[in-house]
Amino acid sequence: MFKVTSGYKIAALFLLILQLLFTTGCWDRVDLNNRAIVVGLGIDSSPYKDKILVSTQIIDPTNVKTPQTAGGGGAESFWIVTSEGRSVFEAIRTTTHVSSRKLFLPHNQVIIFGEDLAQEGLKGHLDMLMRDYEFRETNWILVSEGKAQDILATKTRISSIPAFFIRDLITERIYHSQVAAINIKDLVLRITSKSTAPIASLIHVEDNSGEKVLKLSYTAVFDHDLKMVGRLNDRESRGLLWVLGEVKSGIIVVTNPTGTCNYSLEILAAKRKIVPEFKDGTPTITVRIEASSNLGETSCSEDLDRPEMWKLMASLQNEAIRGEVEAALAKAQELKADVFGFGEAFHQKHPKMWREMESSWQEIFSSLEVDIVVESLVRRPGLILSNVYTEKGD
Amino acid sequence: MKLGNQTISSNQLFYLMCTFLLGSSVVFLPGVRAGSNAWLAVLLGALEGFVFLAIYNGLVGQHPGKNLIEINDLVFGPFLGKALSWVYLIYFLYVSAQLLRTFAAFFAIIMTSTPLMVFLITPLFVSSFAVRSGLEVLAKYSQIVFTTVITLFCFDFVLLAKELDLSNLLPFMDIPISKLLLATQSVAALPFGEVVVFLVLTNLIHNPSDTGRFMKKALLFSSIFLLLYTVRTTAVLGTYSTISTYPAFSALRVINIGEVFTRLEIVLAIVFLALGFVKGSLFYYCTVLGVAQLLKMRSYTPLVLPIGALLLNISILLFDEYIFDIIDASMLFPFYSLVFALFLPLLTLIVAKIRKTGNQQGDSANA
Amino acid sequence: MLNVLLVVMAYTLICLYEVPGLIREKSWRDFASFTAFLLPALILSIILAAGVKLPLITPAIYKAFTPLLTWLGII
Repeated sequence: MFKVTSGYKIAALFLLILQLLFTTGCWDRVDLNNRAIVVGLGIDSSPYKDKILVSTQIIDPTNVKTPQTAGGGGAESFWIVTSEGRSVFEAIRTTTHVSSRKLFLPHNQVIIFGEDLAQEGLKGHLDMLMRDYEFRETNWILVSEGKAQDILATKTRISSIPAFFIRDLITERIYHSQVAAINIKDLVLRITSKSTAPIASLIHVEDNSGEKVLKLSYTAVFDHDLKMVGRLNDRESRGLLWVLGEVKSGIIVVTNPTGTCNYSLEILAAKRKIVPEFKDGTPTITVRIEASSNLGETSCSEDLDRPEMWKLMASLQNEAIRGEVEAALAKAQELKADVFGFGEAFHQKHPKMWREMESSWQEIFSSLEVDIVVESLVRRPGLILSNVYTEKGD
Repeated sequence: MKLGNQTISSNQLFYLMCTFLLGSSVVFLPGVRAGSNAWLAVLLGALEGFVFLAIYNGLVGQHPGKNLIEINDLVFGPFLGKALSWVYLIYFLYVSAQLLRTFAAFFAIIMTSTPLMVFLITPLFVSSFAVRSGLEVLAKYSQIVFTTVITLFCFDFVLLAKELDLSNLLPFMDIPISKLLLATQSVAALPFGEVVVFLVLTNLIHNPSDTGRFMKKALLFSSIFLLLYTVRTTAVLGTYSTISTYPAFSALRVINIGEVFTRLEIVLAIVFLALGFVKGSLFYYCTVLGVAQLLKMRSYTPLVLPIGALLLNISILLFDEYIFDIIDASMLFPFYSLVFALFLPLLTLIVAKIRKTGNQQGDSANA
Repeated sequence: MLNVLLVVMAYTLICLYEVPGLIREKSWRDFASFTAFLLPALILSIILAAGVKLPLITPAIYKAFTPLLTWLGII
């Protein structure tokens, strides 16, 4: 009895070990040392018509800097390969002519479109980014001033791989909230809604004390065919983000009523609510924004012991926020691009009325009446209450 | 005559049916054609599913402890009854071939250079092994899988919490009513209409008087789960779900928590593998069992491999462009499956009521 | 041709697996049903392995349903 079971056990063990042979892979297996890991993609227009240039930023494993080898200069830890094709997919495959390893895309972080191409329209170049299972829906989409290729080739500090640097610029943008960013999934939502205008972050190379740095500071606005029609500056971008409810943090500088000094308020939290209504048959939108902030810095020497001062700061802050939203709205209405998704708000709340408005929405939007109601609070003073120059009237 | 010679408890029936109903619906979001109103389509489809189940329960209640083939014989007489049973079995064979192919196609989308035959033969081989082992093994397997899958989905729900945007469920009812009805019908047909296959198993359940109650419980549980699942996926993806081939798969692709919890869609692929296996094997098992019963065989096991081979051939012959799978699931299956899910059972029930076949007392307890 | 050979080999394996038991137990009815299902499957498999193009099922159903679907306004 015992012998039978132990023999059985050995046979079972043998079979289990045999299974290991089959776990190593199948037809679609690609070993890590045969993969070129792509982290960034740049798509530019080509001098030849009907063709595009695709630049891929590939991690160069032979030059990745470890803490031991860092600082020794030498070659970059990334490699930029540019190839040409009639479609994104063809160009990516053409890369294999110069790259000894086939490109591996799941780790891609950012997709940058050149400004020329963005102005011609990106409509024809997006499909592969959604269809191919290697691209993730969380890839960031950006537009570059100038060539996307140059953005990818810019050396970056702190993070030695530009694509990671750009990704971090985007995730850290919450601390100023002055640029909108979009990933593939949200871009699809904006395109399929038909009334909402797609947006993307704009990136450019700037000279910063003699060194070339990448800077994220504008928001590109597209029409429905993904032609770039304009841009929002940092103030307008934050106005947009207030309405989208994406303001996480940032600094609002308000001047005191006499115009002699200012308060810097650090945004802590913000909420918004968009209410689409019909007033006497005309569509109107009410945007309610609730925000709270901390006093981060002031150059005013007024005594902050009094609650009125805090109310004053809050009301100044209200005006500043309203001003930002109004600036964004004015720009968007001028571009006839509903970046805020007001059309979608009507679609969701009043689907029947929307059917009549849908075809002429661009026109309706450009003269849409928008009520902006801002309620805000300045909560805490930080480690000191009044400014050090404050004269106490005691 | 019990060819299965294995019986399952009502509780096992519950797990088996839940796993069966979640089967392929976890990848193909049910009711996705209704866009933001997908949840409504699921709700209405589930209600239709309860109508189907009431008919099946009526049949089983009137003939406790008998299965579809025996009921057909009783109600329509030996000749017509057998002919009808063959029609059902051909349909079950066809559906199992379809399931196998859908299953293979899902994995072939990612692994493009692996031949399709690999994805067809491997699951079929394992499945035939399960079918040979019998219903009890499948039921026990489904118990394990069910618990694991529900846990995994709870986990997914939590991880997706950040991405949920309930305004994606609006606008309410802005699609044409015909579109909503089509989506409803496709939910009712797949998965709820496929429950008809359980009628082959009704003679293998320990306690026949409980069958109806547990099937109702399973249907209720699965429809609530599918409803939540649809709401979640729509809330995450919004209109993206209408262009996505596998919406639930895409929803998990957006999970990114601190660059640590990413690429979780593989979880769904594994879940689909585990759940789809139960569904496919059950259809396969019922086909084999039904054929063996009709041919009055001593045991059903010699039929497992020949029918498996036939199944493989049919699944190869189904289509060669994937688009036909989508067309079938969204526009064809909802209509022709109605014949088997609704019309034939209803006809049987009406005739059974008129001819007063079977046991009339069980009627009030289970219908 | 290699494909056909593989198919025949696979079916021979199935036969070797099932048939001896059936003959030993003299279950001729089971053996007949076994053959009745295996033979068509074998023929179908050989035809497919030889690369003959057979009409496909789902497209045929689609064609049959086209009038109904058009009438319902779905396509």
